[in-house]
Formats: sequence, structure tokens, C-alpha cells
Amino acid sequence: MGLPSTERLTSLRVNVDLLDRMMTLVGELTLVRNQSLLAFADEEGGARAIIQRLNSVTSELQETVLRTRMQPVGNLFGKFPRMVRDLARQLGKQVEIVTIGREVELDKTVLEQLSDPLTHLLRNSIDHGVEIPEERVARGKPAQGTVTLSATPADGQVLIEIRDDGRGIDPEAIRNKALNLRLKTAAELDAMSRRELYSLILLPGFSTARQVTDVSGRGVGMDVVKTNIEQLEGSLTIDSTPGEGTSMQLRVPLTLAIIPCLIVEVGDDRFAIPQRELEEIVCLHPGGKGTIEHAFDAEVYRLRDRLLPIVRFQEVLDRRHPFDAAAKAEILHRHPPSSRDARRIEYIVVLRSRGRRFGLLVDQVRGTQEVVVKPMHPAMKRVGVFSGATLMGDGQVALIANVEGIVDHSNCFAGGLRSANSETVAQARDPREVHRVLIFEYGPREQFALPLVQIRRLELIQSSQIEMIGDKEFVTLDGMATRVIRLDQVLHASRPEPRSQMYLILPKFVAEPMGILVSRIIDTDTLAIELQQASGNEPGVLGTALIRNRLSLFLDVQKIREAVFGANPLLSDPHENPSVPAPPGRQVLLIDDTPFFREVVKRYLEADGIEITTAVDGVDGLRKLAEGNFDLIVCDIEMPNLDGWGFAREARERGCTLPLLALTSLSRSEHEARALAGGFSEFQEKLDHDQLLRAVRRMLRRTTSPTLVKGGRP
Amino acid sequence: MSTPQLYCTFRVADRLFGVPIRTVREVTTETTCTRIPHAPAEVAGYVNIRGHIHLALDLRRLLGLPAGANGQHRRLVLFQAGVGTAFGVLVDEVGDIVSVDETHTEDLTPASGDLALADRGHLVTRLCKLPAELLAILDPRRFLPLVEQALATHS
Repeated sequence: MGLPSTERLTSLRVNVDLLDRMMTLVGELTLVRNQSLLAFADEEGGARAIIQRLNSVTSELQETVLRTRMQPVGNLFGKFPRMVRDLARQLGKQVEIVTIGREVELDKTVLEQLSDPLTHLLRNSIDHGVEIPEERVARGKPAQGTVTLSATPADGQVLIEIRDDGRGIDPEAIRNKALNLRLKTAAELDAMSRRELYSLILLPGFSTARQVTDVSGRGVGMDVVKTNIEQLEGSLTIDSTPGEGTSMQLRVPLTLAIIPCLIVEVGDDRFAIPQRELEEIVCLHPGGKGTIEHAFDAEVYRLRDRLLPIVRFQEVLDRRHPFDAAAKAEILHRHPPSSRDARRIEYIVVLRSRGRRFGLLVDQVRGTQEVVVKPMHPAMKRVGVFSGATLMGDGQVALIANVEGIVDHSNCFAGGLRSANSETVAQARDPREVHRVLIFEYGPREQFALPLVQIRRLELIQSSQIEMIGDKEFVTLDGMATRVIRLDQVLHASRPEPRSQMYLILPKFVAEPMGILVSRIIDTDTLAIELQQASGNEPGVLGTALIRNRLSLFLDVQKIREAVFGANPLLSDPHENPSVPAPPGRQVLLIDDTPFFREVVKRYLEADGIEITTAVDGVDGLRKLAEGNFDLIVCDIEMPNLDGWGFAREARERGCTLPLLALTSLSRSEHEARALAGGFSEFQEKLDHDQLLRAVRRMLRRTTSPTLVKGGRP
Repeated sequence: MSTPQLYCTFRVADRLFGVPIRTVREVTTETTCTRIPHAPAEVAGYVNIRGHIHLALDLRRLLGLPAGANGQHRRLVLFQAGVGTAFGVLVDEVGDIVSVDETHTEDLTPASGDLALADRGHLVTRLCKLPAELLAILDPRRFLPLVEQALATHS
């Protein structure tokens, strides 16, 4: 009786040690196979056929041995119902556990290493997620909570989900906690998608439970769980609907030991990059049309019209410390866009990490290979840019790149490309609320800030490059004598200690070649700026704002320029005569939703003797227009409620014949035609002081012509 | 009268060093290292010893001795698993196995327990007066912690 006879014959108990030994041997055989492939690569005829055969047999053997190590996840899931029951009783809760997909198979090692993280996550769900019966009933839920543990094969990986129908996680609570812990600024949090917000829970030291309980540890666990899973080459994401429940999703590979890798070379070193993260490879041919370009603080490549942040692998290898703003500036300085060796071919390995793409620049691509992963030596675990090592066909060791570690090290998603590169962030972020700002120091006492839109370039210079001509200082950049401006000479600022290297900020919208000298770049950050008026109205300072708990001075580049070069003679236009300021007492309605830009433009115009009325959007603009008497309207295009297009249409329909100047940070060519067709009289870039003033003067002068006032525009 | 101890000796920057013979697993001519970027200077890299990856440390750097050319006698001294996980040190040249009587050695006590502050002198545990020269006896158990410490402080 008992089992059917066939069952008895086909099953066999095998010692685990034996299987492990087999695994090691297959690993070594794979190596021999790789060596043979290399050695006989050029061979024709007999040897080649034998090697081919060896190749296919080895692959099959490898697969078979891997299969012997596969075990159903049910072996692991089986131990949880009891744990859940005990825990629920201890907490006075009623919890049922449902397991799905017990037959899904995983490698023994992966399964073993999943035990602790899964236990922790389950405890978390029951402790923090599922409510006590009274609370559940009060919310109209069944008194008994359900925790579903499921495993599904997905794309060469296994997706394990722990879902509860408990109280869920309140995104507001995470937000507040992140603010309290100073992990993120309010602006950064506003820009985050819900999923990104939930991922904050996985940061070290983050716990949203109001009280620390014994059950799921002391709230320090989630980051450890994440690390454990990442060591398995897996990932963990959290999603939740407040009041309805939480889902924690774990993705783990089926097996660990052998993974397909792309082999690349950087300098004399060879590295393996796991193919799981690989999207494509771009070859940069000399004389080809694609090149690496500079986008303020990062290098980028245009990949099918999307900007791909570029990380130079060589720089990652050479720099032991994670890249900060200064390191990034140095890298840019070292690789000016035109410096590429015209004879050399380089490769961009396009990788995806955390849902975003970046390009890793390498010297050579040597093809793909199945490699046997050996973990990093325990003493080298801290080296985050590598996840392990492997033996190559020639017997040499090659390091296996840790793509996520490279992202962290190079900070390549932290730059201005963030929104350009990520679909989700771009949606969530309201671009008008926040500005990308460069934070820097000149003297030790003050922190300065300047929006990136006002910066053309950042240049690293040696102090020895600064030359004195008369009492003025210059640096030669791109063959031009560039005036060096020391902030302590144009406003009340402290002087820096002498140092050998400094930075020059080359501002945009300034006709004269000038650079503002900076001793230290602190960072670039995305911030919502609330400008406070500078006390005593210091010329050269637009206002102040708190950035990272430090009072920061926003520079008024135009005022600084005037202080150095005097009033701008270039404002005179050869065709007309608008070098004379507009007739005094002119009324201009300025419509812009961004407080910062509104303030800047207002100051530009007020300095010219113009009286300004401001409005915060199109709707507000129409109201103010009806109330006041104006000579000119200056209007932003991108605004909430009613944008510039809508405002222009509406104003014209209401019979307004005033000249209308469109103001925008959008690129000119695309929108100029549309602006003119849409009822605007002219089109100007927002922060271009000279052009803006010239246009305003010209337009104000025209309004004195009676025909235009009466006739209006078609 | 104490029993004589056996030491595996080697030269680094023309100085004679030794480790207790029971700590050594093997001495190999395989010294081709794959450098590990971001690792401290004391780490020479990974070495493949018959299909197993080992960490090779540069004993010269470890001892703070002046850098020198890598001669043809360069060897990798690999240690037993009890000393530390899969690792060894690169030496300029391997010497004899010497038998030393305890009475001919002198203890050196480390001045401070803080690895970061010590001037590497604490790697030498005892000095032994051989007839021709002094033999500095090293404790290989202290090598890996020193490297880990270096990695932790600069990252």
C-alpha cells in the first residue's frame, strides 16, 4: 500500500552537502567551458565542434543542477500560520493567514535567506497593520483580519506579496515624520509620488508606529529587511491605501549563483555588469552625431530625445567618496564637451535602477557571459559599488558592478535631470512651486544661493589663474578675459580664507563676461523659495530665505553687474532710441504665479521708474485689468487656474487693446509663433534683464502713439 | 626550558618578518591581483587560487614601509581559515622556516588598542634575536581588522 510504486522509484533523498558540492563543481565546469571557448575561439573544424558540444552540455548540466536545488516556497510558508496565530493571540487580535502559490519554486539559498525578512514583514503587518477587533468592527470591517501571503513567478523572478486588510499607512504621517527627521524638505516631499513616499519607511531609523512595541522590534527593522533582500539581488516596495490595507512586495531572483553579465573594460580593468539591469548599449563613434553634453551640473546624452544622465565609470572608480556638488563640478571641468578624443570609441551602457535610466560610460564592451558569482570578501563589504567578484575565462578575477551602488555613489539622479528623466516625478511636481538652486559660500559667514536658471556655467579655477589688470581681476576663459567679482567688494560679505582652488559662477543674461567667485559649493537642491526682503535693502541681494536652516542670501545678479560695470550702455538699441528710460509714471500689470520670478521682474522694471501692479495668475490678472489703468501687460505663460494663453484670449475678447508681452522660461522657437498668434505682441525670456527692459521700453514708447491706443490690434 | 616555536619567515623591504607556522596555509607564486577600486591602499586586490578568490593584502603598506619594486621572488602567503576569511599577504621573498626558543624572544605590548592611532608597530608582537639579525614576529589576526578599520574611516 502507501505510495504508488512509480512515486517511490522517482524520488530520492539527497544530502544537501552533496548538492552544494555539485553546485561548486558545476561552477568550476562553467569556468572551464568559458576558458575553452576563449582558447578555441579562432579554431575551425573539429575542435570547434567539440567545444560547441561542451558548451551546450555544460549549460544543460548547470540548469539541471540548479533545478535540483529548487524548492517550493510552501516549505517556507508552512511555518508562518503558527507564528501568525501565536502573535495574534498575544496582541489580542484576530488574524487569518492565507497562502497562495505554495508550489512556486525558488533556489534553496534564496529560500533560506528569505525566512528572516518574511518573518519580519509578517510581524509588521500583524502588529502595525491589522487593527484590534473592536476597531475593525467600528470601521465596518470583519472582526478577523486577513493577511495574504502569495508567491507568483514574474519575469525570471518571483514576486512575493504580503497583503493585509488593516489600517494602512497614512502618507501624511510619513511626510511629517520625514520632515521631523529632516530627511527631506517639504518641497522634495511634495514632489514625491505616493510610492516614493512609502519607500521612505525603508530608510534607516524610520518608523511610523507611534509606539515602539516588542513585536516587530524597535522600528529599526525595515531598513535591515531591505538590506537583506538587496543582498539577494532582490527588491522591496510598499504600497498602501489608508483604511484599507497595505501591500509589501518582494521581488527575488529564482537562483543566485550564476547570472548573465555584460563584460566591460575601463582603463586596464575588467568588470561584469549584471544583465538584469541592462537596457541597451550605445556606441559613441568618433565623428558620430551623438555626443555627451553638459546640462548644468551633469553630463547627459540625448537618447531618442530623452536626456540620459551619464556616469563615467572611470570617475566612479577613481573617487572613493560619493560624489558631492564639488566633485561633480570637477568631473565636468575635466571633461569639457569638446574634449573627446576623436579617434576613440566609447560605449554608454544604459542601465535601469529604481525605475530610472542612466548611462554608464565605459571604454570597451567585451560581450556577455554567464558568471559564477562569488560574494565580496567580508572585509570589503563596505565597498558599495561592487556586489561580488567572479573568475573570468583567463583565470583573472573581475569585479561585479553593483548598479544601485553606482547610482548612490555618483548621485546621478540627484541632479537637475531628475524631473526630465523620471515620468512619475515629472507629473507629481508642480514646476512653478519649486526652483533648482545652487547653494554656495564665499566667505565663511554667509550662505548664498542662486537659481540654476540664472547660471550659465560653473567653472573650477586655480587661484593662480586670476590676473590683475590695474585694480581689476580677470581670468581667461574660452579665450575671453572674464571679470572676477569678489562678493565682499560689491556687498557686505565676509572674505574667504585664501585657497588654491575656487569656483566661478558664470551668470546667464549678462552681456559682459563676468564670473562670481565662490569658495565652496555646498550643494544644489530643489526648493520652494519664499523670499524675505533683505533688511536694509542691500543692493546686490534680492532677498533672503532659509535653506537647510541657514539664512541664505539670494544674489541680484543685475545689481551686482551694475555695481561693477555701471548702468548698462548696451540697453541702447541702434534701431530705435530706447536707451532713454520709458516716460515716468507708466503703469504695468505684471502677471506671474511664481513669487520668486515675480519679485525679480518687478525689481527690474521698478528700477526703470515703472509702476508695477502684480497679479498671481490669469484670473487675478483679468480682475486687476478691469480695476486699473495700464499701459502694458507683462504676462507669464505657464500658470495655474488661467494660463497666459487663456489670459490673452480672454483679454482680447473683452476688447483690451493694450500691448501684451509674453514672459516665459520655455524655449523660444517653439512658443514664439504661438504667442504672437495667440494675441501677444511680443515674447521675452523671463530672466534676461537687458532684453526684457529693452522690450518694455520699446512697447511703452509705442503706446504713446495715439493710433495704436485707439486702433488696438486685430 | 620551553619548547621551540616554528616560524615561517619572509622579507619585506629588506627586513625579516615571521608568522607562526601553524597560521600559514600555503605560500604561492600566484601574485596576479585584480585591484579593488575604493579599497584602502593596504589591499592589493583579489587573487584566484585554484578557482577560489582570495583577498591579497600588501604587507609593505600594512607595515607602513616604503614602497619598492615587485621583484621576481614575490610570493603570496595565505593564512589558515582560523586567522581570517580567505586572505593572504604579499611579501618580497620567502625565507626559511626557523625554530626559535622562547627565551630568545622579547614581548612587545601594543601601546594602544586603537587601531587607527597605532603606527602599525602593534602588528609586531615580539622580537626575536636570531644570530644574524632581528626577526619581527607578526600577528596575522590583526591584518584584516586593520584594513576594515581603514575602509570604515574613509567611507
